[in-house]
Amino acid sequence: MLRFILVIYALTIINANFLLAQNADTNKSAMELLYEAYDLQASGRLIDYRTKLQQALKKDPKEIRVHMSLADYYLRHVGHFRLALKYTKAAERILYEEYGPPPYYYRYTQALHSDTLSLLSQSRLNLDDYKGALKAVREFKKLGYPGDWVTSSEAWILLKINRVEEAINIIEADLKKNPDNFGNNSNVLGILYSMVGKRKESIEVLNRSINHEFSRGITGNPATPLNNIGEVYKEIFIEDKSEESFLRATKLPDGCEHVLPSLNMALIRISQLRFLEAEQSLINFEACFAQYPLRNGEEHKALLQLVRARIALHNGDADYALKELQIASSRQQWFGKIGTTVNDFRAATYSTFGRALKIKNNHLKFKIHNSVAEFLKTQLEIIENKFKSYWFNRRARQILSEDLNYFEDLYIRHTDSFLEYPTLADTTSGFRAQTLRKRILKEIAKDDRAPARKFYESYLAIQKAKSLFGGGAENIKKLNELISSLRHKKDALLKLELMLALLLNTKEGSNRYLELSSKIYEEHKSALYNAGLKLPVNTSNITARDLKFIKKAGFLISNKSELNYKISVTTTKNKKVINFYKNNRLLYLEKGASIEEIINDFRDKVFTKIIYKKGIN
Amino acid sequence: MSNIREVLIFILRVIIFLALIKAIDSFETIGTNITLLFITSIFGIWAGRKTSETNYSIKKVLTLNFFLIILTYILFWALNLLPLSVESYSHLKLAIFENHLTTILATFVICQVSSFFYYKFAVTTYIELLAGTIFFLNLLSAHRNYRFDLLNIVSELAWKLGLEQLTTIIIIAAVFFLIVFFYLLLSSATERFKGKSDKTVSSFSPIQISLSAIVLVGLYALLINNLYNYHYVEVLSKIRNGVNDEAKEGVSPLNFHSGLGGSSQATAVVRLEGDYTTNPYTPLIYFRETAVSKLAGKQLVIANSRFNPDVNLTHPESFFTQKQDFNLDFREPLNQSIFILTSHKIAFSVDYPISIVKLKNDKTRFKSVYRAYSMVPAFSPSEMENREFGNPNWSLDLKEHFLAKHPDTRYESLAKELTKDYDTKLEKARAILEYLTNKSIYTLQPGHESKIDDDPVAPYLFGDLRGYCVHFAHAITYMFRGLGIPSRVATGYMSDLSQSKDGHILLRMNDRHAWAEAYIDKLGWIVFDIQPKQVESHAETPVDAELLDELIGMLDPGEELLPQDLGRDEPGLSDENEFNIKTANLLKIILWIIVLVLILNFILINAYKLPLSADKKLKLLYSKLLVKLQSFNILRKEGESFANFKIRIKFNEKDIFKEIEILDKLYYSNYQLSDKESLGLLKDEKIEFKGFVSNLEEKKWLRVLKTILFYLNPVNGIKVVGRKV
Repeated sequence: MLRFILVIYALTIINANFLLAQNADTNKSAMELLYEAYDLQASGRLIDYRTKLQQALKKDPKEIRVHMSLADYYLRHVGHFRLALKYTKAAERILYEEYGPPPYYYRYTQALHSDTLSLLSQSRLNLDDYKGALKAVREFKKLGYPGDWVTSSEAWILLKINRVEEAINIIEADLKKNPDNFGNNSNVLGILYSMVGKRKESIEVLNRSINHEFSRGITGNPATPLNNIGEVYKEIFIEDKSEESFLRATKLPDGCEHVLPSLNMALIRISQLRFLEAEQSLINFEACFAQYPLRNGEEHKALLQLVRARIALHNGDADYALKELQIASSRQQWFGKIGTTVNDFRAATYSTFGRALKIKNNHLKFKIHNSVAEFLKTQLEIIENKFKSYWFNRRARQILSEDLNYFEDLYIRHTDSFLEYPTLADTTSGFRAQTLRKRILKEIAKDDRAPARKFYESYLAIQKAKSLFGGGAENIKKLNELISSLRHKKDALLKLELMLALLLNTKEGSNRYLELSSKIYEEHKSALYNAGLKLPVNTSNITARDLKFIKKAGFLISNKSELNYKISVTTTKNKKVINFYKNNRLLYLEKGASIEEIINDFRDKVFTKIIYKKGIN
Repeated sequence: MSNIREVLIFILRVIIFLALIKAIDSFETIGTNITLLFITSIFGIWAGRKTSETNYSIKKVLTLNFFLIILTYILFWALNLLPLSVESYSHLKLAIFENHLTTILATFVICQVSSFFYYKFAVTTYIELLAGTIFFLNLLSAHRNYRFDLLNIVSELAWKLGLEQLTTIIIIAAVFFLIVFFYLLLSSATERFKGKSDKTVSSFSPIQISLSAIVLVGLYALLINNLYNYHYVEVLSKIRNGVNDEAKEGVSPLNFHSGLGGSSQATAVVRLEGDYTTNPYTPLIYFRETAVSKLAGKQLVIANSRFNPDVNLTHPESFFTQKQDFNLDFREPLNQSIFILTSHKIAFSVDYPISIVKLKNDKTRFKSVYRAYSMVPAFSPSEMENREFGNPNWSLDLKEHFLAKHPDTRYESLAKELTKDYDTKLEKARAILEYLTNKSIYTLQPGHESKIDDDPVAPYLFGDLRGYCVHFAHAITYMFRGLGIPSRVATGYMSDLSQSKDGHILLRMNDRHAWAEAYIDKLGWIVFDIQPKQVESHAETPVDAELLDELIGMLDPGEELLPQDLGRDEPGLSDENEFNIKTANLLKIILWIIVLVLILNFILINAYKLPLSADKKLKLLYSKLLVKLQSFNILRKEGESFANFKIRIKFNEKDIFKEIEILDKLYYSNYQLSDKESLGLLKDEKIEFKGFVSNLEEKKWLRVLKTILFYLNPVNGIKVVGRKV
């Protein structure tokens, strides 16, 4: 009784509108609620839409359209594919219970069944059940339901299971029969052509697809073919056009729904040492994606973290990179709607992880320790990192050669791959020389792209340079040749890698070393530090004790000739100040009580660029 | 292998190595077929044992293994020189094969060498255990700053078992302790150090074994007791990040000493039932539980409920309602369904709740489920400009309550100093936030020394500026009050909406939070929170997206309304709830483990019934009888020979251990025991022993009880098969 009185009391004082709304809903039929839900969806109130649909479902759990709307909601707006599949399956069962199994002869039931099959194929595709998705699409086709999407979907599924030729045949046959269906088919056809090396045809088809999508106005999705054409341009080393396509794609409404254009743009920029711009493309994507409040972006977070880790790594922030990679490798990632597979992603992550740990060890080499305990801790960390780095590179090589069709990703700028091609030598160097040489020879034989050949040759040269004897004079010559033949800005990262390999085989302190290392530092200030190589500097006003610390911190003291870079140590107000000059212009300084207190921070200032602020997330 | 104890050691060792391989593989995929590695490890352990029986020196064993590795390397180098076909990727295939072979070889070498050392030197047992433990601790938790409560594996297991994270860690530790105990027990009581003097052969007496077991179990119990008692309060009261859920007037739910204890364990799921696009704190969302506003001495405590009518202080299972505050503009209604996963004393919701109603909870997974109907803030930051702080309708005592200044005048002085260049109160408030954001160092262990009556915030603000949310919120509140801004500290949860999905927010222990609030006319209590730029200790754990997905599926009304067999023949749905073990099932699991231990114990005690040779049967029976006599406190005296012992415990002038003579014969002559003879002996033995036991001067119930306990004690089984007769 007391409870009843309390409830009555509550009902009288709780917001009247809310109660009215609740009461009003309880008196409505499932269909009324469904139509109200559609209005809410149209006005962008998606959670209200979901709540309303769920109310309708409770009202009538047998209402097939409610199930289908919920399936569509979870598929399109939320990305919860299991729930989408569950509702679709429920819809299918109700359909069978109420109208019997197909075929159906009334328009209404046919429409219901065709929608169910469409939802079924999409949900299954997103859950990586390609066989099931293909079954649904083929049933749709078999029953002769009208749907211009069906051929392209079938081709896409075939592409995912590596039946490329079959996919091309299906689309070409459909285009012969229905030339008007070009819009739906062209995008997939463009990708398929590029996969079999018909790049000219691919660009042509994708260009037509872009125009077609633009012509559809607000309903068009031009960002997808724009991204695909960008990938083709990237593949044939026309970076300007490629970046332009990605940029156009990201500026379109549908371009910010998917991560690929932004990601591709970031990867191009990284290969050109344009790290801040690369990060900007990721920031822009995230800002744009924030307009989808129902999705937490879990499907692309791992990819973003992988790219961010690379940016941080190139800029000398190995700790941030390792943290990002750790999280990236533990995240879930769906690949149903993109060409990349889980193995492509794993190979890329392991490869970067292995490199990051190597770089971390190179950094630790230059760390100044203030106690024996600290020194021992660092040594242990170095051993652990070495082991882990070996392990991750081994795993990367294993996946590339075993799970990805005998290292098919070696094909430079493979569209499905997330490998960082300019630095891939780090991973490939782990193969036996003969194995790598033979594999590369095979790739060179079938790859007609001249710029790609330089990448292949670079991998071999870098492997030799890293070997015990450095490959000898012939390899030095080869490295020099490759460096001078690469494009200045577009191949900047690969060029840097080659210069570092060359420096590795140059006597420390020699004139060639002084010249080359200064040039590398000029190109990118973290490169030497990441490779564990020293930067030559002139010194002035430095005591022998201070000099000892500076030498250990990654600097090569050379006063025999005038160099571009100089370090001086001064004392002001009982504080040591260590200064770094470029052509007598002060670039960085660090102040502190003693040299050992400030030397690590000073080294970081000289060699690293902190792109990501450290804070609580 | 000569006796059962040896077999047991071998099996246990194999199990440990298999578990190691499995654990490494699940943490970081090895990439080579795991069954092959299992077989290799068994073979390696066996080879190690066999090698230990030879006269091979350590140097020889290591050299042999080294050559094995080098030879493999040379072999593959030579194979690579062969003119293999480039077209069919022969070199790559060879590399793949080499990769797997080296992994298998490495596994073999590790198992073989370690087993050789194990069987050769007693100390290896301890070195191995220590090295293994360090390796695993490092592998599992180094990336989480050795916080076991933050491990994915722990939180996943806790979730699957439906247990508290701490309980899960304790169970894992218990299992680990038990395995280690049995391993050490068996390892130390064997004749495995062949070729050494008898001194190295350690053979514990039953008393020693029992004492060791008691000491080890006692130590473990003490450890767990202390650990659990220390944390249990926290488990119950949700002290996480220093934020408790105390609702008593006059006390503070906040802890200034340490913010440790926050783990990634899921505590609740909030499902927003409507769009909340006007959230002024986007991407953050705050769920308030309590507010502390009364200045009692040098600390803020929970005030009488009339001061904070917008704070419900209601148990999640209780009903709460209040009138809407029509003085507030820019508020809109929002329904939230809250599914509590761990015990909570107070219901929380987005500021401020109009009603809290308990919902039907038919899922054993949730502790309670309620719906909160709130009037949530719906203003843009620009609305805060040009508004007065405080409420003109407040009575004098309300004003005084929220403006009560801290007795330490340094708060006011610092606030004034920091804000001297600003005119409006809002600008001043922002200046304080900016100062704290830039200067504070986030740490969960500030390590400030303070007595009970001291102000715990002062060492942070006027000291090293190291602290966590509790310190930040108090410092802001004290400084705000020093400037005449009515403020208080709120507690509850803070979450990042960008990690939510479909309006579902997964709250974790890590999300416990305290923040400052200030009252702005027409807007109500507004959050003023900081996120320091400098971080000292923080292990980031992103929301478990898979768990969130699972929960969304579980909470979806379709879960109840849709047929349960939809997953049949549907690969995308088939593995759902694969590991969904409910709490109730845990008891069953424990029961099964006890039953299995009992069965194993029973088999070991009665091992003489197994199809063994006649002499082994006899030895095992003798061993069983000896161990059983111990439970009746009949022990062989120190220095007493078996023969004398037999004479001393004669019953009805008959030997109860006839087999002693037979055993003597077996050992010291070529006597062959026939099966028939053995069978007869065993039969007689049993009858006579039964008679002996029944005539002991003890009550029958006591004898029965002792017999039951004899079978229940798992050590007895090991003692029977492990005894050196």
